[in-house]
Amino acid sequence: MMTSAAQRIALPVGDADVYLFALALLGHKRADRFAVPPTSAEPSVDLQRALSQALPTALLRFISSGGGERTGRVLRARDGSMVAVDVALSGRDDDGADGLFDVRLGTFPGSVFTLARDVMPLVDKRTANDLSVRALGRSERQRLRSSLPSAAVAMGDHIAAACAFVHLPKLSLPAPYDVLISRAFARASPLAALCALDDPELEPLDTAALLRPPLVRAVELLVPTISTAVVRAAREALGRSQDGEDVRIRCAAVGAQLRRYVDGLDAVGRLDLVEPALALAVALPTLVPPELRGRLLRLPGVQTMADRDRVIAAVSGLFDVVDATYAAIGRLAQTRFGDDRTVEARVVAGLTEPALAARPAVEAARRALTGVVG
Amino acid sequence: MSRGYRVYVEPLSVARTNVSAEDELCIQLSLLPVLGEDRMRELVREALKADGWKDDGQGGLKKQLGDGLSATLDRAGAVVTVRQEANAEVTGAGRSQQLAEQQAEERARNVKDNVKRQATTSLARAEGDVRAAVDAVIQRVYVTALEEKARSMGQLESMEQTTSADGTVEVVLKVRV
Repeated sequence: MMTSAAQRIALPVGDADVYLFALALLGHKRADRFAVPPTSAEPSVDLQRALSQALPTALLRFISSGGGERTGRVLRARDGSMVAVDVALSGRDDDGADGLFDVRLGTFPGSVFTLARDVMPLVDKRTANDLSVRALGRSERQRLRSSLPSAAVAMGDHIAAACAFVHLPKLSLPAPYDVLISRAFARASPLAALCALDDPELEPLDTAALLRPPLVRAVELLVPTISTAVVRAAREALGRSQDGEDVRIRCAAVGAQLRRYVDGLDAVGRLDLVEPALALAVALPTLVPPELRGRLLRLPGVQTMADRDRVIAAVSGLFDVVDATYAAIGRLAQTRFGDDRTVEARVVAGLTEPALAARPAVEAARRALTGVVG
Repeated sequence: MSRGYRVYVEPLSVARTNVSAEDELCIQLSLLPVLGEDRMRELVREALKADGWKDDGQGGLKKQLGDGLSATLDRAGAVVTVRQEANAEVTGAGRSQQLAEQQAEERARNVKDNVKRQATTSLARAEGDVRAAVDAVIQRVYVTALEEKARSMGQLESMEQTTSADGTVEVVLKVRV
């Protein structure tokens, strides 16, 4: 297996499958079948070397391809007050403020090895018969659970978990592996959880961990990716399921989790990272077309008008979080020169134009959805 | 040859039971702040009362719209709940009252879903009309509120109201301040 022009590492075919699986998980290679088990129960020295060289590169590619490699204005504490710093957000180098950005991996390579070793052969064996996959035996379930990624410990783990979560659908895993594994990644890191807002099974977003250094540096880098993921989560909540109750639960989850994020940003004075909520504001008029209200009554699981109103209430929760975002940036706009959040307000003012322009359309979409009179 | 038979018919017990189901929907009222919020809510209540709505005894207003359909304005004056009730009577017969009641209950369970569906269908059909009626009331409230606002600003010299083909109401007020 070649990992660079300078260093050639030869891997047995089983270890090579683990290597390719890890890269596929990080979006580096196309998804393939991974049928051959690794040569040993623990990663071999060569495999560890290959992974340690390839995974950080794949993560950096994820950061830069997701919009991380850009010039941005971020807030930094300096001498007891916040200042706005123009930096080249690359994830690769010192961003010029508060030290190096570090993509070292802690638990991720081990997690991905056990995933590849235990889960992929199982998936491959069972893919032919979806019913038997759904009826996993207890021992297989326990094995699967023990193979799933554990909580992230290093910055690179958090980014890897988010990256794997984003790329997992490309592997086309059969149910229930797709849900179980993506949920495990979301549970491993709040950064990945921020990309999985429509999963009602996840715990409340840990904004305390997410919005303080060092993890907040990853949020800064991945804001464009997170914004895309938030819009995707809302789209999935509204469109993927054909069941009304599922739509209700997922939309409620997106609304509640995103609200936690926005409130968390407001609480720590980092509304410069509010773009994911603004992206939802811009997308809502498209995601919630005028005919949705009538369509909801035809969904399975929506049998009464009261059921329909419950689904509508959950969908309008998406508008509520957008309203809360507008309110937060509106309050911030009231700050005057010399106030604690003046600098933050200036940075945020530069981000809000598309969302503010979309506000009439957002309001019209909400009125069409809720059927409000007046 | 003929043979005679004597047939004893025990009187069957009959039981009746009512099956009722209901469905409801909510219409949110969002009023432009032509006047203060409290005054706007008050005007809505006055306009609804003029439209035949009655106090419901809990601080809200209620109107029976016929065929089991009713509408209630909540105490805060922000939500109109439209409720549709549907009823059906089912009977059961048996050699004892207990058996008759058992049969009636079983039949009631069987028709419960149908009655509920009937309530939902009726409510869905009525939604547009109720919404239009509430909307018309709110339009009148706006006209009243604008007039009141104009009078508070000076002497109201004229007030012209036109309704276009699409139902949009235009009010032109001339105020001498």
